[in-house]
Amino acid sequence: MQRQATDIFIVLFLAFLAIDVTPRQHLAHETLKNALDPIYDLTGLWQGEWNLFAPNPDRTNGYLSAEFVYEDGSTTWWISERPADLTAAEKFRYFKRFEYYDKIRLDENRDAWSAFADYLYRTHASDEHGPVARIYLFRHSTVIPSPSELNLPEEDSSAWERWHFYTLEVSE
Amino acid sequence: MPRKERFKDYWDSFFYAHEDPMICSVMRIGLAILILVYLLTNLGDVVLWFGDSGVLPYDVSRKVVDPDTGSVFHFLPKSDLVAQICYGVFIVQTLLLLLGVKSRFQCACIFIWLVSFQHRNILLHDGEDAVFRIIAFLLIFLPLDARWSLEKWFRGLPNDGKQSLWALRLIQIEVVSIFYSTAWLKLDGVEWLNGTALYYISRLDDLFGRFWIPDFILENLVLLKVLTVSVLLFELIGPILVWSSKLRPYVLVGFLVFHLSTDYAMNLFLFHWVMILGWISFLNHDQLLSIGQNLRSLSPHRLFYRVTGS
Repeated sequence: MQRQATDIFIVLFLAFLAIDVTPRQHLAHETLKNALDPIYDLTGLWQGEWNLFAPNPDRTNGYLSAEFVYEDGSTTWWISERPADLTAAEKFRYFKRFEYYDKIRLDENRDAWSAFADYLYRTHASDEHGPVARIYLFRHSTVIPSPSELNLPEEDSSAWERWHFYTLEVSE
Repeated sequence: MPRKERFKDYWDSFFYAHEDPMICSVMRIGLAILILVYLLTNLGDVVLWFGDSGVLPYDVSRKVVDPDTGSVFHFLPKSDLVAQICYGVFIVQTLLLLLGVKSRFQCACIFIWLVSFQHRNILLHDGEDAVFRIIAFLLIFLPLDARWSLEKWFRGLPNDGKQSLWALRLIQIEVVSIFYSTAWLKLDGVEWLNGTALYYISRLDDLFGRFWIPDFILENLVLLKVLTVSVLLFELIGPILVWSSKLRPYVLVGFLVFHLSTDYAMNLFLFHWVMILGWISFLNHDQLLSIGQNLRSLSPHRLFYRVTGS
């Protein structure tokens, strides 16, 4: 009896694993994955496709910043940790921060922007400038240039672009 | 022999063959050490990530995570102190797992903590967290206290004898599936097929450049293309060859070199280490003993005796 139960568990685990990690190929697979999604979520055994640098690696570098605008018109800035400025130990220590910055900037996570701006307001607003009127959140990114066949391009740090993606009105 | 009988024999010999459970204790200790490193590294950010005064209060966290996901935080008061206490209990239970005190119970709790913290702030987590979760879940079904267990030592109990380690097989299949999934996706990637993928990866400032790498590697497109194709081929072929008992030791050394060299070059936190732990599940009892003997021969006092001859 115990052996049969174990067999069933093994078969179910393997079936769920195969459905979950196999890249989506056709509509039937997609439908099955979506139907099973609540079970994966509930059991905590979800993993999905393993898209580590796949199908293509990311081609942009980025970071976040926040501009604090005070009621007297002055401004201060918060800038997220820049990996290029950190030691190997600091990069290890702050790995989860890079994960967070990488995900919070995405439109699909817009519901978390207000809480993030509010956290920055509570922890990084300067006392010297009086009350904060609003906070602007920006994402900065630069596209890694394509390599030519004969010579690799020089790093171009001037190619950073900035997008405003959220405003927190504090004084209202 | 009928096909059905043959399949049953194969199934039984694959999943239920009796083996020495020493490997399960190695996995237990390895997982506990990695989770401790994970937890202690992020100890200073518990409130930041999981507290209600952090970047993602509980109510907001439910808006960015799939609503079907479960977490013990549903049932607990929403405060910074609760997050800190839960994190503390998580650390203590991981320590108990390391020491071998009611390890299967600790492992079940650790799985629940991993799921709960990951669902509490989904924006922090990536593939390595999934590997931690799956391995912790499957270890629940293994005799984790077979060796080096504090509880057994206190009680004076003998080591466990041979038994079927079917969940270890599932860990092996899980690790192979990760490589199969990523290699499949990469076959659809233009940059993996034209060989420029590692060029782009080597320019990602948050992940690459952990330790020094000679410029002649990073600035040589031909070399980067050769490395890109080599990685893709290895990810495609390695997970197949590892099932051959003759080739397995060489393939596992290949995976070890692959993960350690990538970890040297890139900052992926503990991903490569938890993957190495997964590959360790392929080692049998004799191979473990052999590795243990070789490691012991590298200990300082042995080296001293070898050099001095006394």
